[in-house]
Amino acid sequence: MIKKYDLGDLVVCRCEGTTLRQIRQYIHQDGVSSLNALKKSTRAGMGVCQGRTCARTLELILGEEALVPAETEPYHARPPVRPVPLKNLADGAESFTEPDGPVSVVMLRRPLDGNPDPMSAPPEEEI
Amino acid sequence: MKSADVVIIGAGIIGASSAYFLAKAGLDVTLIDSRGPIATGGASQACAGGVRHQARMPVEMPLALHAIKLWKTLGEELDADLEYRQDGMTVLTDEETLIPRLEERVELERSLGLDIRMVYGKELHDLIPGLSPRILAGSHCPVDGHANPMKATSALAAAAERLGARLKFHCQARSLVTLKGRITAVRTSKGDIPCRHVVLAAGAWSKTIAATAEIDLPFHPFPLQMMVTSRQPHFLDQVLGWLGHGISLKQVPAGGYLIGGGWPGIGDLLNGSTRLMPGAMAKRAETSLDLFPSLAPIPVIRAWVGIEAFCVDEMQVLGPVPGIEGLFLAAGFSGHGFAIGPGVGSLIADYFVTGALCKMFEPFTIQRFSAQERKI
Repeated sequence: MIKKYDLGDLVVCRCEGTTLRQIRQYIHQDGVSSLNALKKSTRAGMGVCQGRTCARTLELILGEEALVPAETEPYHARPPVRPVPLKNLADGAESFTEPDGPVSVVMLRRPLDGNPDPMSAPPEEEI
Repeated sequence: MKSADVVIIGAGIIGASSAYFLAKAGLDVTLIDSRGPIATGGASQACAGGVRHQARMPVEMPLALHAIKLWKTLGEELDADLEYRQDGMTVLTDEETLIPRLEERVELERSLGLDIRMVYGKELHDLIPGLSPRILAGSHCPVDGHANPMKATSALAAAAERLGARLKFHCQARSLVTLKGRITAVRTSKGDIPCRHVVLAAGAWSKTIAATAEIDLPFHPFPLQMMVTSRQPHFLDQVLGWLGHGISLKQVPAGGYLIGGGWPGIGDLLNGSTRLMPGAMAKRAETSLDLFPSLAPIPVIRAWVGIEAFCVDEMQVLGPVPGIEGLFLAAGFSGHGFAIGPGVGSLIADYFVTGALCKMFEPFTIQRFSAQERKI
């Protein structure tokens, strides 16, 4: 079906507006052979539905068109699966004991070995 | 397999930029990665994409200045859109007692040549509309910014390939082969690649590879978690940090608010799999709203984890290794390697061309750990 017609403008991922032409380009020019690399390169499956609509279609296209046998690695379905407003996530913060803080806070509790200079100016918080 | 002057292990931002600059310098380079095209680089792919100078150790500032100068023209040079934006970053505080600490750092960074200043009260809130009224002051660096880590990493690898570098995907480095204290090959899942030089840039995976040459890298793997919201109209130009709260907030060109800041997830180094800690999502959502309350109704659509190598002193290991001729270490960036990645790659190429280690790398050599510490 897909091979028979030139449907390059067909929107495969409607959240991100990724077309069949863009997907083919990454498969044929960059040698993309996995669903997750396809997602990273074309943004297909990265939108609000997180691939619930297009992942099967992407599997089909990749299976038919990949230059090398497509990888069997399953599509990475990322939490929270359905969109969750920040407010609702934040409301649940109290109910979790782990983790007890961001990494630099955790790391700073760890005593550093060796000579403290010149590296030991207090590191700041964010990555 | 075909031999190479230099085999680079790991096609993350460090390995890919090293491959690009080495190929550009005319060296015969092979870049290998255990994953497939576009999906390479464990930490680089997952990182929040901050390209900042500020809030680094002073010893790293020259490297950051050098690297960010490269970022300005890198997209053009690679003929790719890296989504690099140099719209500034401000590290904020809501605590009177922390303002002197920020001021002290700003003074120090100014003395190191950085364009940065303190911004207070009304001026700050005019500069960054939407901030919580509790925020009192911030260190504003107009030349900080952000880029798309997936695009940057794959564009560097693709440009390296155009310049003649060989890219080997699904090719896992198993061990370093040495003879009489000198590198002779890299043993991979696809056979040996004879070479005289190796750049080990495999992030958290570097530790087990280095161990095959009896080097003990003082690294431990740290899975870091990020999340992004649905696309929103453009509103926030700057990257925001919040002193002591572990948050970095930015709006990426695609429209989503990307929330990082170094919260832990769960990861398995053996198979590369990762899992999220729901508590990290919830606590960071809470922090985000404390900083920027208007984000409350915006939905988070995706969260993910990448495994980064944290060195025991949270600084990278860069440079050759005494006793193993031909091995160059470039790993353990401890969560602050993406921004300096292109700079590191260009200086590694300089090292291979001139044979001399540049001043900017000197603080980061493995010699900072005693000979006893670095031997298995």
